[in-house]
Amino acid sequence: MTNNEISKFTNTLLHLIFIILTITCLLPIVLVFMISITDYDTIVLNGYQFFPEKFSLEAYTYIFKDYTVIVKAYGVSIFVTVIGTLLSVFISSLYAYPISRADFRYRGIFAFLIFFTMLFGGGLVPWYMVYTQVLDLKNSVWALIVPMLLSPFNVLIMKTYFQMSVPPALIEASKIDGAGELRTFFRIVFPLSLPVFATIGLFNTLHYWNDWFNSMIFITDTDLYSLQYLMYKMISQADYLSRNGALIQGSATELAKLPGETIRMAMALIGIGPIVLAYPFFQRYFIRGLTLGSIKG
Amino acid sequence: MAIKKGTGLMLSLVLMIGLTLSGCGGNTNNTKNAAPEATAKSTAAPAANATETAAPTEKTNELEQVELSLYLPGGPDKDVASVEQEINAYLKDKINATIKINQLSWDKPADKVNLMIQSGEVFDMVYTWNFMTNAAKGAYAPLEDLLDKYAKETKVQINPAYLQAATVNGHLYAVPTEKELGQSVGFAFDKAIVDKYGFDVNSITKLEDIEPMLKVIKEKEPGMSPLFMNHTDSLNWFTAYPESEDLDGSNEIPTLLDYKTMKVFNEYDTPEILERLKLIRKWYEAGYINKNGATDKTELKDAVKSGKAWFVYGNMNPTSTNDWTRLAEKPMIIKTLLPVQVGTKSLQGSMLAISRTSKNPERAMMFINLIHTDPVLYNLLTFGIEGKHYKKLDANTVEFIPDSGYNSVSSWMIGNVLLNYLNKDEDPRRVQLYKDWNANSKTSPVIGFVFDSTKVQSQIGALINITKQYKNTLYSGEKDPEPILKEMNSKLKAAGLDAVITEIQTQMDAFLAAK
Repeated sequence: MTNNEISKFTNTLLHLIFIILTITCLLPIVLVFMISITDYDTIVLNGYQFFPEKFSLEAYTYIFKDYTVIVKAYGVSIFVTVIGTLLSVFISSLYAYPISRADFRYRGIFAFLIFFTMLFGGGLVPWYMVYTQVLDLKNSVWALIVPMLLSPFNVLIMKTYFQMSVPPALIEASKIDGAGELRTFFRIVFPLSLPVFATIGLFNTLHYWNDWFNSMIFITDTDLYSLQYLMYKMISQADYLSRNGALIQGSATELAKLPGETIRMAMALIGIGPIVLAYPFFQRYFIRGLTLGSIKG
Repeated sequence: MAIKKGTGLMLSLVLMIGLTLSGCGGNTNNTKNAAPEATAKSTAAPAANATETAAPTEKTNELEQVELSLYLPGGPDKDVASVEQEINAYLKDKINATIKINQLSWDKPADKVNLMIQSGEVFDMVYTWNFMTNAAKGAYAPLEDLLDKYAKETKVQINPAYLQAATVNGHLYAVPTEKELGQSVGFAFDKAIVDKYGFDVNSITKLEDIEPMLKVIKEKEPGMSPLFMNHTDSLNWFTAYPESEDLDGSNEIPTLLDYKTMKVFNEYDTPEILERLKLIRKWYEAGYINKNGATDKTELKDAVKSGKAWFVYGNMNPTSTNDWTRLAEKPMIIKTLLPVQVGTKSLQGSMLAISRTSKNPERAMMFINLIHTDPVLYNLLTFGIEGKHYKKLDANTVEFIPDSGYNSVSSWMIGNVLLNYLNKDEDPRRVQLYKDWNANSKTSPVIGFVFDSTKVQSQIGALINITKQYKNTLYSGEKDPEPILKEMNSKLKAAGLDAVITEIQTQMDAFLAAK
């Protein structure tokens, strides 16, 4: 076992390197946090500081003044992320699995279809028309889910994975043992392909969690804003109003007074939210995914 | 074999184009790129629709009930539904219509409306972003007949310059908000400082006149920046050519029209600009201007509020004294420097158009007429419900209730601002101030002229980049202006500034000849 041990010096060096790396990752977050609790006038006078002269929770008071809106947006984002991820992983795999099978007669056509849409998009306007006029999803929570259900790129990744790591002989064997197509897929292929499901799942989770564009395009009802869009909107609104302060007559005075920079930082912290928790959950599958090729099968 | 070779080539070509396209398409943010293909088709069909419905004339009491949709910037407010309800009850007897207010928020509202227009979505009234482009594309219904028929009162009271500015190719495409005509540029000084040092701000007639004041501040107020600049506000607010107007559609490239000669010129290639920039350089070297002026992101109002600066500068309007006092949270004094200029652009600032796709353009026009003439409806729309969104202090003065859930529909967006209640913070002489302001404003000799930039689009794009690259450096005073100006001008020339100027001049000459 001594072979695997590293020298004390190397060990310390490695530790040191990783400690520095960790600090460079964490420091900006700490700074963001400190700015978010700094008094805005202090920032104007002194710039960003790790230990500001004057603290203020104004940014948080502003954001949480209307905490129902934030809570709702959190709800929408979590719903969209969970449902969207489950549905999109499911649908992607249902598309990818058949075209990964050599004995599927129409695989050429379907593989071409998905490949084609990856190369040629319809453009923004037709895309918008499909969801607003054909599917009538404007101002509906499904408008945040449906447009991102199937990503050609994910399908191709899954297809490749199925082809590489599920031996056709295995599928044949399960067929001989009396399993139907569905049972083969759910009981044989799915457990064997957990790493790719986790990967695509993580992709989609991040994708859904970070999406603000669909909210911006399709949603005008405040109750259906996703968290990221709400943040984005609050910031761009604060920006706009502070730049055009003189334009805003009486009615929006309160808005024009917002402490811009500190709000931005406070929101960044709020926006990180639960997605930080999602990663470790997926991570164990990645570790398994990495070991997968190490044993000759 | 030859054919096969050709097909192969074709296929790879298609693939290449496809890859490039998908590269653009992947950025869903990029509305403008994706737009043009769909435009022509989607606007053509609804156009026929609008002309059909414009014809019939009914009497108000026989109107069947319809719903009108209205798209405005700002918000969305939480409590908009209750205001809608109140408005609808009020409108029932008037025009038997209900209103659906859609607030698009401040974040890229123009993009959202462009999508609606390009996809041929059915809607009625919209605040006009990119008015010229959309009007030229045929996104809006022509209004001249509707205005004559359903909005006679508005037509009588509105300043004709407004209607002139909203006319494109002979058709009126929007009804502008009735507010101050044009804007002026000036200063808003911190009153405490002005009083402390006894500055006579009324004596300021040109930019140079503030120099002695900067000197005093530099000597006596060490913590304060005598002339504070940031990356968006620099002294380029104060043009060196008062008798001129910026004509290009972008407002970002050097194409000024000299009112005296009616010639378009490059303002960066004149002795006046050099003199101005040398003055700024001198101020910079004297330490009057903050060192990072070209990149600082602090808003002027925040700088004044925190005591880092003692004045703001920029566009001023009749009620600026109150506006800036409110924003800087300390008493401010206004001094406007240039005469109030009324150009097509300032008149087009905020207007309401009726969509081509509207099913009820005549009812929409009746509604527009009401917000220009009916104080009850107008105040309901802009202030909300009494007791819920605002409190009445006396017959005509109101105070907003904080966090009431309805505060983003501002009067400058829509209707006739003089019908508004007086806000508690506002100058009680508001109506008079507006009237004086409008009476003193100078109307541009070329109102209604709109530059069609399609022929020189690519040059304009390049010119904007060059101007942006140099403007902040030049106006921040960080470097000696002479060589930079030289470099900038040669780049501008190389990028085709002359072609753009010639194009504007040609169109301007044609416009003047037709007049």
